[in-house]
Amino acid sequence: MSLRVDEAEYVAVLGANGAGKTTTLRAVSGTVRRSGTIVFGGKRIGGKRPDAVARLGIAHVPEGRGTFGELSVWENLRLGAYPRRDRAAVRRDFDRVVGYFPWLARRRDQPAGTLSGGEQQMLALARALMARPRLLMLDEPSLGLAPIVVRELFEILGRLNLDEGLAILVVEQNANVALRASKRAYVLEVGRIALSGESSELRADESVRRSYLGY
Amino acid sequence: MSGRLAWSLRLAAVGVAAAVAAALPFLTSDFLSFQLARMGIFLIAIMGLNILTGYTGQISIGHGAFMSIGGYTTAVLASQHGVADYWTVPLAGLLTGLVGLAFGVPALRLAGLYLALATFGVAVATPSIEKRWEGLTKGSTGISLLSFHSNHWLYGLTWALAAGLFVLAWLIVRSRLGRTFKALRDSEVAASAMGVNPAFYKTLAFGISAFYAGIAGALYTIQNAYVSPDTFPITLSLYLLIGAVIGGLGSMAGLLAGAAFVEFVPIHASGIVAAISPFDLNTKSAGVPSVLLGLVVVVLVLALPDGAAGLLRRVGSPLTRRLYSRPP
Amino acid sequence: MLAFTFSQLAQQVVSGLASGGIYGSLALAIVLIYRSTRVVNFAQGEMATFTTFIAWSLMHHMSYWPAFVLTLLIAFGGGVALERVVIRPVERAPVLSVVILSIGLLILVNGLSSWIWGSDVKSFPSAFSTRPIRVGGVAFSIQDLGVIGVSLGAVALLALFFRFTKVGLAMRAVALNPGESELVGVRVGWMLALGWGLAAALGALSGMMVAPSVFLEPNMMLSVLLYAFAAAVLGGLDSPLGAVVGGLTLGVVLNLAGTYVGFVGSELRLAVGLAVILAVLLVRPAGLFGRTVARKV
Repeated sequence: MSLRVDEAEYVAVLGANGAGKTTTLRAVSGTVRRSGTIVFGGKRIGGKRPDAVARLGIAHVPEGRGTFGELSVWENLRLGAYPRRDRAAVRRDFDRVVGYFPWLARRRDQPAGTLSGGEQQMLALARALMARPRLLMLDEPSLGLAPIVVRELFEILGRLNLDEGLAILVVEQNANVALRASKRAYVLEVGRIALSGESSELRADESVRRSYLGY
Repeated sequence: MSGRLAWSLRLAAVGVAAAVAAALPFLTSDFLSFQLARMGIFLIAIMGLNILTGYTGQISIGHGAFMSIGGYTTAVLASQHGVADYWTVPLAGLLTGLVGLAFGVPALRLAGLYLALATFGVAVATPSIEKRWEGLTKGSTGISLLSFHSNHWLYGLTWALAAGLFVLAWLIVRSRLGRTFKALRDSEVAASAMGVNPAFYKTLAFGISAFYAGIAGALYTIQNAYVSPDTFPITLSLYLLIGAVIGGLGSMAGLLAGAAFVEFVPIHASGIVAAISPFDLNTKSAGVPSVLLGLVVVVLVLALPDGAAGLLRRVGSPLTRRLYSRPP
Repeated sequence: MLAFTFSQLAQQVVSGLASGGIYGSLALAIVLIYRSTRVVNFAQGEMATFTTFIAWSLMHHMSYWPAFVLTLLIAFGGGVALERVVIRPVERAPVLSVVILSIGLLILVNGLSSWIWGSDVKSFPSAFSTRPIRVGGVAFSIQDLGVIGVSLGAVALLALFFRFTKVGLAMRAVALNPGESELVGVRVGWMLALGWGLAAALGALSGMMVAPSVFLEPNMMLSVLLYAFAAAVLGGLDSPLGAVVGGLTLGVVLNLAGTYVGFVGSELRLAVGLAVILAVLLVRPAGLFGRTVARKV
């Protein structure tokens, strides 16, 4: 299986449950044993531990968000910037992130576990942004969220990709939303790439939609 | 290897071992008989602990306390009620077994680490309770037994009992009861889904292991002709668990090795350390046995982290597997 | 039953708080390690004794407080090294293996203490004078007050560290969710090692505070360990606050029980400690402040 994300590119990975989408992300971030070659920015990262991968600029927002429920909103964000040493830039990023999600400032001392599902997803995204990543990976961000929240989330992702040149790799079950947002897409089936191409083309192709994407 | 051949070989091996064991006291020094008898005592206690920890997965760091119950039963019966000391042994076992059953009930609610903590507490606190309960135990002065027996006699009694109890344990383990224990250890949820009542079996395991420990404690008291609250310190409980682990939890074969380890390594530690160390160390110091024992345990666990399965089992498993495998 | 006077009660409470500070420090050490690695370190007491012996040796060459601080640093380093060398390989091993390992460590360290320093009882200097001080008409021991001060001071420092520093935050995150912490770039292994280092330093503190009164010998901390377990269980094995509160409470309860409840006397304190462990584990295993964890099927 061979997958590519270019700089500032927005790529979606689709497929049914169990197709291996989550495992793909995990292989990149190092949370699962993998074989083969994984190259990031010219460097091979296949043997690196997850914390080393994160320090190289890959932010992985896992399935279920992975926020630290017992820590406050602000502490979660601070953790996002953990490996960074440039204090002034971190503060600027904090303001920037609050710009995307204004409510974060109001609720900074609230335990993250008391936020709603949508808010936790936003917090997880905000936390990932605090690391100033070059590649942002999200695993099923729309899971369990109301459509209006999903739309808001993907709108923000779109802005991040366009305005800041952030490369995004998103794994989604909701193929419709993902294809509208992304530039390219891969469709996985049982651990292999069944299909790949421009998102607009895949979306337009009715037979593809029906057989692979279920709508 | 055909079933019948394996059986006859195994019987022959046992016969040879029994003959050697019977002859040993006459061939060795008196002190060695004493040590071998004590090894037999540890073996009995470890067998019981093995059933509990190895087969039902309940960790106990407190079996020294059970031994002390057996020891005091013997002492009290023999010295204050005039019962001949060897008759007290089964009584001590039964009483301790009952206490074990009683302890097994609350123990059900404690999983893994918590049970280890609780039994650790029992082991540390029991000596002081025994000190306080002077009416029965005569406190710190302890109880002396009046009758002395030769080391050979003790050796014989201990190993005869050990052999009998070994057979009993072996039968338990091979029986449906044993399989139930193992099923519980591997997955309590799965076992109860199949209709097994975990509470009953886990408690029973506690009772059985306490029974063994009680007998061991009784014999220990008879051997020393004395018991006091300090006879069964926390270190004894620790050594028992280690002996069970080294021997190979969940298997009967290695227990002899475990008991031997616990009996002989501490005593010979100074010699061992002096032989292998390049420095000129004061190897006669009291701490040396502990250092060696602790070091061996640490190294073993680091080497075989998934096991707690004992070196012997790993090394000898092709052999033991053939001896113990059942015909298809 | 002894005659009851207010000043005696106050004295017993204060001296109970002092013992409680000692139990609580060791309990906190145990909880710190348990929170991050899910390991109950049975060797924590022996490690404390060993480092107290080191302090004893140092105090022959330098005055008390420099030796005290140096011991804490040495203990910290030892704890870090221990985690990296001995505990890391068994990070994913079954519970029993780790229990056996820490028991092996207990025996090993206990033996080392005996071997290096001998098993004879030694006296250990106290940081505080043994003169009494009168507060509100009641005479208290300066030593008791000093021990309370040092213990609570250490705990407060740690609390500040966890609350306000980046590393402290990272350690808390690791205790909550190690996998997630890795994804934000936290080196989980080193955070665990740090936890062991801090725990070892706490143990050293606890040992140095208790040694003046119980005298220094290799088995010194065995009963303190039992009380520390009781305190940790009482407070909740994964709650640092619980460990401290549990320790202080237990210290006071033990003292009061020993003084005012006839049959307990001084010998049955251990039994009371055991009773606390059993009672808490049977009635409310999560303790006062811990989280109840549902059993995974």
